[in-house]
Amino acid sequence: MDWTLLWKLMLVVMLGLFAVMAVFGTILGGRDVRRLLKHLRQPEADEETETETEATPPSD
Amino acid sequence: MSPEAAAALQQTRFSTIDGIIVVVYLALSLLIGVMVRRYARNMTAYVGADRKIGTWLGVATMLGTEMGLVTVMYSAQKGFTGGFAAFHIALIAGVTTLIIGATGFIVGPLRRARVLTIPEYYEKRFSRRVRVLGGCILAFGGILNMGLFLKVGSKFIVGITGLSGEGWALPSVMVALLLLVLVYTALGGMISVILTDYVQFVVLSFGILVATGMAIAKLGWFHIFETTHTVLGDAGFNPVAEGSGFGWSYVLWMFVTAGLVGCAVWPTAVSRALAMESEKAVRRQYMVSSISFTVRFMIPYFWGICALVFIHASPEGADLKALFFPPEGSGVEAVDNLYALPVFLGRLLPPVLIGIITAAMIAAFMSTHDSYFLCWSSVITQDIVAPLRGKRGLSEAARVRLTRLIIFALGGYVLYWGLFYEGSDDIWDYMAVTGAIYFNGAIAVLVGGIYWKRASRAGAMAALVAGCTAVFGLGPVQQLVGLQTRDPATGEWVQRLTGAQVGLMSVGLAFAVMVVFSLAMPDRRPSVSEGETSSPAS
Repeated sequence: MDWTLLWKLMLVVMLGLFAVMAVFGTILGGRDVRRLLKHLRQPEADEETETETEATPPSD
Repeated sequence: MSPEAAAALQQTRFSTIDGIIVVVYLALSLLIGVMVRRYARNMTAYVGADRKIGTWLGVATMLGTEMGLVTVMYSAQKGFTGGFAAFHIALIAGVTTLIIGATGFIVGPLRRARVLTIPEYYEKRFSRRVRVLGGCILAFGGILNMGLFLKVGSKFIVGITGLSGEGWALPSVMVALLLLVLVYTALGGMISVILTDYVQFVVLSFGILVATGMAIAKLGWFHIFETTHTVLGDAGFNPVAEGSGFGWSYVLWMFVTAGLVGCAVWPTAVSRALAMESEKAVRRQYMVSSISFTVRFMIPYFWGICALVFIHASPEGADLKALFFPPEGSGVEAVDNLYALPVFLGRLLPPVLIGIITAAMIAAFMSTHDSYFLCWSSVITQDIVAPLRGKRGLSEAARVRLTRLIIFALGGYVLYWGLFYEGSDDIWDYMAVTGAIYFNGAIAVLVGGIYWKRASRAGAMAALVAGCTAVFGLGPVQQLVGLQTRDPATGEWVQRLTGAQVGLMSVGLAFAVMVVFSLAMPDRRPSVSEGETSSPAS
């Protein structure tokens, strides 16, 4: 078995794949960050609405 | 360290502008931690980011966590001493992760169980006692495992910036880094960990690609392979060759540690899977992450090899050869080979780029620490303290508060260990053995619990205890129990069993007792149902 050739091939292939993954991870990971933050803000807004509703006295 | 060694290690291109880059980056991380604090309203958000992490954010944060500075340092050390033969570990890690992603082995069922930690699964499947015992062993092995992180990471900072390796510099760097990580992790929990991990992924990915390209351009592609062959011979390429320092048992042990455990059993990696938005996202993330699980070992190995070539066959590194490889019989003590990588990078990279790489490496350091602090502290809170309180339970606010307190306590321990521990172990092997105290039993309990209906509570308890026998792989313990003896001629310690052999036997023992005890002592009542766990977050 030619170990040197195996490790050379592995190094080249994995560096190439990693470069592609870095680009995809940066772009699509950024999209996921925006989605996560949007979700995290949502319940906070709901909680605030509920608090405001409870604080309002009955109209009668 | 001799004055000559200290002077040689201080030769670096790190300048004021690089220092500014690092400070700006660290300030940004702290800011993120402070800003997202308000989102950590309950334990699910604090520990699991509300289980809303998409596939690519999962990929990014997985690399951010698993390619820590400590990983870079111990892997570079392996590459420096073992050459390209160390690449087999990276290959095993990548292939195993790909298989786990394709099959969903262990991680799929765990995500379906909707648990926050692995011991929480133990309670769902077995009993509360199994959870508490599993949590104790996990916390013990895990905390011991991260004991050397701070010191090793700080050595990189000291080496690349040219600070003095002795005196006040190392402790000061350790304290400063630790405080920074503690503050933003304690404030924002998993949310700040995820967001800072993303930033770290971006900086780290492009930083390591550029640095690798520069190393190849500087030393020459063919020259790197030729010099490695000249210095290490065939053993520098073939992991099962005599003199490689690896061998068949080591390769097999790597299938367990770097392969299966690294991605599917180790809690910090699994906590990402448990925080993903769906099982499908988990599996897709693992398949993509097989690239980063390979690269996280492979690139640091390659950097370590480049450092070896730089020292042996480059005019700029000629002064380092006598320091790292003093002639036999000269009486000169060799410089710690952990310094080889940072010193090499400090002399290779130009200003600005060296600042970016240093920031990326500090990012890697922080991303590992924050995840580990959060992971172990949440295990202690969720899996030990809360279950032990029984019906009295712990409120959500109390859990978050306790987790934060434990994070600071762990910080104190890591600082103490970093300042006072004087071990000379190979870092990767130390970590494999300390980690095995937990994961040898955990593999048997998880595999048995998920895939074998007859696995019982007694079997799970016995397997967890049996996994602790991995501690006999540690050098000082081996010396204590007679697994290492002194050679009367040379005075050196001789191993009867290597750490890898002890680890493999311990895994086998854990599986054996799991089967024997489950068959001999089956459960009389059905296991605890999903609604009966003590964690309100689940």
